[in-house]
Order: sequence, then structure tokens, then C-alpha cells
Amino acid sequence: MEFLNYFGEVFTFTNMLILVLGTVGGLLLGAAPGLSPTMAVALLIPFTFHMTAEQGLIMLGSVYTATVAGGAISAILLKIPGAPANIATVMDGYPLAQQNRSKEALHYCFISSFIGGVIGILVLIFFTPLLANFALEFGPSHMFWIAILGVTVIATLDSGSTLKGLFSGCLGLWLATIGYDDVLGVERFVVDPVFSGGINIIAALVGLFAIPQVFSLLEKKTEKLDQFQMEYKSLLSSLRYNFSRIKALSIGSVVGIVVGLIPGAGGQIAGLVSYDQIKKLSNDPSKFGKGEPDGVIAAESANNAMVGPSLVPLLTLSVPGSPTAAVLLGGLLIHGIFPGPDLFITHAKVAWTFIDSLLVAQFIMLIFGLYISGLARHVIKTPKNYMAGIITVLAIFGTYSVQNSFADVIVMLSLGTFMYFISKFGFTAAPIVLGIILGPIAETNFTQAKIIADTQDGIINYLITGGLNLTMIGICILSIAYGTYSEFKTVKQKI
Amino acid sequence: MINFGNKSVIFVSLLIAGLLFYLSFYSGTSKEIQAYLFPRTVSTIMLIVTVFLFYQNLEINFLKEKERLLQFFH
Repeated sequence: MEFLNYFGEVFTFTNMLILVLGTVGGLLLGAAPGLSPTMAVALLIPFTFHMTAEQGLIMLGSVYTATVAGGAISAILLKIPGAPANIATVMDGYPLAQQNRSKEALHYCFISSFIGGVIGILVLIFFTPLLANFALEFGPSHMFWIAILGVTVIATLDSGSTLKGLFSGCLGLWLATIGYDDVLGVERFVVDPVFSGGINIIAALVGLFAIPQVFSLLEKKTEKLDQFQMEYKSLLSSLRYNFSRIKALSIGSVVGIVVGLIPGAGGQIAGLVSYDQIKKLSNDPSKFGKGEPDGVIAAESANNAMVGPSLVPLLTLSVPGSPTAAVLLGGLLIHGIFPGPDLFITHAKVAWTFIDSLLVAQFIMLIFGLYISGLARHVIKTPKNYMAGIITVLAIFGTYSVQNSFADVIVMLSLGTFMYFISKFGFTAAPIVLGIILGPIAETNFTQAKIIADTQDGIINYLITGGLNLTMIGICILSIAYGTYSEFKTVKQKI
Repeated sequence: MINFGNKSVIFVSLLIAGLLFYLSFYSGTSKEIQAYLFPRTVSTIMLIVTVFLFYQNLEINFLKEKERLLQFFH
């Protein structure tokens, strides 16, 4: 029950203010179509740089939770998921709005998100120390394979193509080698003094996630969107109905937890799998897709239940459970916190305050989510070109403010433009970012492993023997093989 | 929205992997050669992945052609 010792830290005036601002801002950012949780967190990381580690992480954590829930507002009112996690919410949320039941749908969405979110954070609280104790026995070879596993899993699950995902992951690992080698002190690929410290993580995060989105927003035509008037609906009756849907809530929460614990899977998978399950287990599946509240309840409880468990592998093994968790890893690193087995020993206060704040954020999200649903209707009407302008200003200002360096802005814009170009060929940003973040960990541990192995049986024997090493190699091979096999199956079905 | 075909994907992958492979083969003192071991390994893997991308493209084209011929003879 160590988490209870640090609960008081969340309730200081500054931390509570950050928590409320982060949650409300996250709800509004999530409601804006085109702003995914991953991009929202990436854009905010530079602004947390001058905060303390606790404050920065409270801000990022609350934005992560709230954007996932806020994305349902545009999913229900506009049929545009605010975030990929809300794809399943559209299926019954929008038909409910068409039946003039939009407020009811939003009530179900926030109440279910709250229930799923709280269950997910409780899993995070109780599972993390167990896994951390197990991970304390890891040596350099294990840490090397964990870094490779993180890149492989994100590469195979986040990208549409396993090979393209792997290529992107390797590109990130290569980019991470720019600058001084930590162990040998040799300068590599420094074509300009700007790169002597390597590629700044924040510049990379903001550039790779925000700039391609700006280009995409500008290249799409602005569509005229339908909007529905809010009907009167008593919150009490929504609460009563929501809590009576035990089956939908249980399926959503369990699916969310399982999907969250699998590294690399995202909120959209949790939402879609739980929607599919509740539909299959329903007495009348024909109601789904026509405005069935259980569809919204299962999808929303699943995508928020996924948030907590997706942080378990991140905080204990440095393997992110979702693309947004991968960006959060960057946020932890800029505050000098390296997640891993000893996180709860060396940075216990920061780690537990962060986790406790996520639990409190669920309550704030419920209260403000229900209250600002009406206000968010104005945010979702923001024209796309205005949205692109706002993102560009935030990206440039945020990147510059970290080191007062214009060079970082140039790196950010160059990486962003390059990312937009290669995204046209089907490459995705998450594996590159994770490669940049995990690259130094992989390389340092590889070099250390080599030094140890030179005194023993050689590097190959050192890296590929032992149960844990073999398990991680096995998971890497399995995820690549399964990803390639499913792709071929899909191609065959299409032909 | 512009989206490119499979052949251009292989061309771009080959271009990026080839450039990084070339840059990674810097030869200097033994310490420098050791420091370049990791980027060298990564860029080699990128080239291998590009070869697999090429093979995957061939396989897909073969399946499409096979299906077209089967439909033609039936």
C-alpha cells in the first residue's frame, strides 16, 4: 500500500491546479479532430521542461487520460473520432446523437470512461511493483533485448506493415547514434555542431508527431459538418442506467486491461475488441450500430481502462504499452527519470505521485467532462487551417523554449517534413520515436554486454543464452512472424 | 491525398538504407571502428529489411498474377 503514502503530494495547490488544467485542456484537445493523445502529449512535453518532475508528469498523465475520453465528444457529435481510441465509439455514439440523444451518449461516455479508468489505474498500482521486483534481476543483456523488444513490438503493431515498422524502428535506432558515443566518447555523424549532443528528444517528438499532422490538416478540404442540439437528460438517470450495464462495463474493463498490458497495442484495439465482444455476447446483436448504449459503454470503458495498464511495462521495463506511452517515456527522460526496475526505489516519490495523480485525474475528468461537453462543441467547430496554425505555433514555441536553441527548431521542422514525406510511403512515426528513445539504452547495454562477454564466452553466447534472453528473442521473432503472416493473409483475402 | 505505390516504397527504403549504410562505414582508429559498430549493424538490418520488402512485393505481384490467370482460364 505504498501508493497511499504519497497521496497527499497530489493535493498540494500547485499539483491540483496542474491536474485540473491538464484534465480540462486534455478534454478540449481530445475533442478537437486531428489532435490525437500521442500528439497532444508530444506537444506539451516542452512546456513541462521547466516544471519539477512530479508537476511535469502530473500534467502529461492527466492530458493522456483526458484526451482519450475527450475524443469521444467529436466521435458522438460529428462522427469523427477525436483520437484513434474512439473509433468504436462512433458506431453507436453517432446514431444515438442522430436520435436526439447526444447528451445521454456523452453521459454514458464519461461515466464509463471513469469506471474503466479507475479499474485500469488500480491494475497499474498493484501490478507495477510486482513486475518491478521481478525486473530488478535484469543485467545488460536483458536490458539490451528489452530495448529491442520495445522497438519490435511497436513496429509490428503500430504500423500497417511489419517490415515498414521494422524499417522505421531501425531508422530511429540509427538516428539515436548521432552525437557522442556515451561509452567510448567518439563523435559520430556530427555534420554540424548542432548535432554534437545528438538529436534532442523533444525536437524529435514534436517534429515527428506534430508537423506531419499540420501538413495533413492543410491538404484535406474542410468539410461542412452536421451538429446536433443537446437535449435535456437527467444525469441521475444516466448514472443509474450506466451502473446497471454490468456486462458492458465488465467486458470493456477486462478487454482494456488485457490490451493495455500487451506492449504496443493501443486504445483503438481495446475499443474495437470490446465493442466486438459485447455485440457477440448481446441478446440482440442487431441493435448495435443503430444507437445501442452498450456499444458506447463497452468501447469507452475499454479505451480508458487501457491507459493504466499500458503504463505497467513502461514504468517497470521501459517498454511502452502504447504509442502515447512511448511519448511519455520521452517526458520521463527529460526529467532525468529512467523508468525501469529500480524506479520505485530511486524515484519512489515521483513515481507514486504520478500514479496517484492519474487516479485523481479520473474523478476530475468525470466532473469536468460532464460539465464541459457542451463547451467542447465550439472547439470541434475550429476550422482545420486554424488548428494547423495553432499546432505549428505550439510546436515551434515549445521546441525553442527547452534550450533557447533555434537549431532545435530546425531539427524539429526537418524531421517533421521528412516524416510527412515518408508517411506517404506508409512509414509511421511511433517506431522512429521509440528507436530514438530506446537507441541509447540498447547501444549502452550492448557495449557493456560486449565488455563483460569478452572476458567470458564471447558476445553471441552472452546475448543468446539464458531463459530470459531466449524468451525475449522468442517474443521478438514471434511478433515479426505473426505480423508478416497476418499481412499475407489479408493480402490473399483482398486478391 | 498522395499515396505512393509499392515500387516507390522499395526505392525510398533502399535510398535511405543505402545512405545510412554508406555513412556508417567510417574507418578510423580501432576505437572509432568500435564506436561505429552499432550504427553499422542497424543500417545492415535496414538493408536486409529492404530486401524483404522487395521480396514481399514480388510475392504479392505473383499472387495477383496467379489469381488473374486462374480467373482467365476458368
